[in-house]
Amino acid sequence: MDPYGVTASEFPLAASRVDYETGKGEAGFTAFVQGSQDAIRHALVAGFGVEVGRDAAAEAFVYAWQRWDRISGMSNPAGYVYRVGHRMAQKMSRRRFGPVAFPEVAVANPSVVEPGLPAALALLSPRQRSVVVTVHGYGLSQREAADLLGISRSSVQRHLERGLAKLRAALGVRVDD
Amino acid sequence: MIDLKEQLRAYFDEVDPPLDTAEVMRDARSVSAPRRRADPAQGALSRWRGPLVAVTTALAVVIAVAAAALLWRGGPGDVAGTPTTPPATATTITSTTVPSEETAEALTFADDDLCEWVAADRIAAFFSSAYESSVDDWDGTAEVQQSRDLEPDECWWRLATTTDDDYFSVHAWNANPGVVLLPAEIVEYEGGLVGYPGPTASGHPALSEGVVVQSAGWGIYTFWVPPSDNYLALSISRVTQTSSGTEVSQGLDSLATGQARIEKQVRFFSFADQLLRELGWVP
Repeated sequence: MDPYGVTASEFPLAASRVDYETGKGEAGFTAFVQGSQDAIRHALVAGFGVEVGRDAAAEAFVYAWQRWDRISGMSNPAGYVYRVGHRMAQKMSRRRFGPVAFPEVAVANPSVVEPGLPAALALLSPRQRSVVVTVHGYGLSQREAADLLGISRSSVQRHLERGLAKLRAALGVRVDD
Repeated sequence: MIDLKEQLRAYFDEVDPPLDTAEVMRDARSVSAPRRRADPAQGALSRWRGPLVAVTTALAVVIAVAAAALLWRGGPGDVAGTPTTPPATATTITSTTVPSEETAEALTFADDDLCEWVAADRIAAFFSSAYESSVDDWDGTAEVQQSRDLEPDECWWRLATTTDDDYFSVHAWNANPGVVLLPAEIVEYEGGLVGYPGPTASGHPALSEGVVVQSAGWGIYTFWVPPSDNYLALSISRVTQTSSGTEVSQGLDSLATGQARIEKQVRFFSFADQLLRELGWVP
């Protein structure tokens, strides 16, 4: 049992989502960060919001570096680091209180990013948000999202439809597909 | 027309750029060189803050408990409101209301429909047991609020035949993933769990050994069994329609004060503990 209570069977992060070689030493770790960070960061941001998700991903990589000799030898290092980041994000969320936060962005043209989108994302349930963000925010397929989030494909589809409907209602937009 | 999917892509491109690998490496080096094993209690999160946070949290808990004790001693007695005829619903959770073992084994928060698992009559029995003398115009039954957009792992029940402009509802949901209002510090229960944010305590007499409860206000609690990541949140709300709109007051300040609060809390926790055992969370 490792410090975070993670077992190999718990790694939900599909190996196909990462592209790296886990060599030893600093060079190996750098390659690991470059190759795996998108998948890990996306999953954490989808579940916990931008601020917590990114902080947790960064902290998880720091944690991984401290134990790189051991983690580099694992069969799925990215899955392990994701689980560590997930636990860290949970702790951060408890300390920071408040709803999951998505920052506003300053854009010249509202048609690029609707100003109300961040607030509308916060209205979604956690699972709806995770699915919407992973599929449409980061471009994963529904199958990949199901693997990543540990839920069925039908659940992904259902949460996706509900989430998009909520967003459309909140933003006052018509069906666009 | 706004293309929502394109907007989502553009938004996350904007707010979530890739981490700077060089910066991650700098942070990693600034913490320490690679080592063999972490301190499980602290993890990799700002270890230097651990003792300070622990002391601060402990002080806050002591102050909160003392303040709550003073409040209860000095506050009014039980103001249960206008006496009413107790609802006809049974006031205890009987064995006949508990799902079979086969059902219980299959229960998880991930895929099962909470509204089906926890039948409305159990919610009615729970509410009746804890709060029966406080609610007027209730026939002792409850119903799922179908109008709400429910996740499989959440459910809202409304006390039936209470008026449309003033009614109570019970909300149960999976508090993970999401924002769980829980401090890291867990203290031994010493009496009372009221307030926001309330203490996080283990050892409550109405809860099974190992169950931890966190109060987010009177009548809003989260239960879990460390180190599990599964959290059961349970709350009671009063919904009131006023001339200025709908008011939702979570918690039960209007239903009980003083010692009556503690007694009702015990019944609340007993019900939650029953659900935890059916979920198989209690060792």
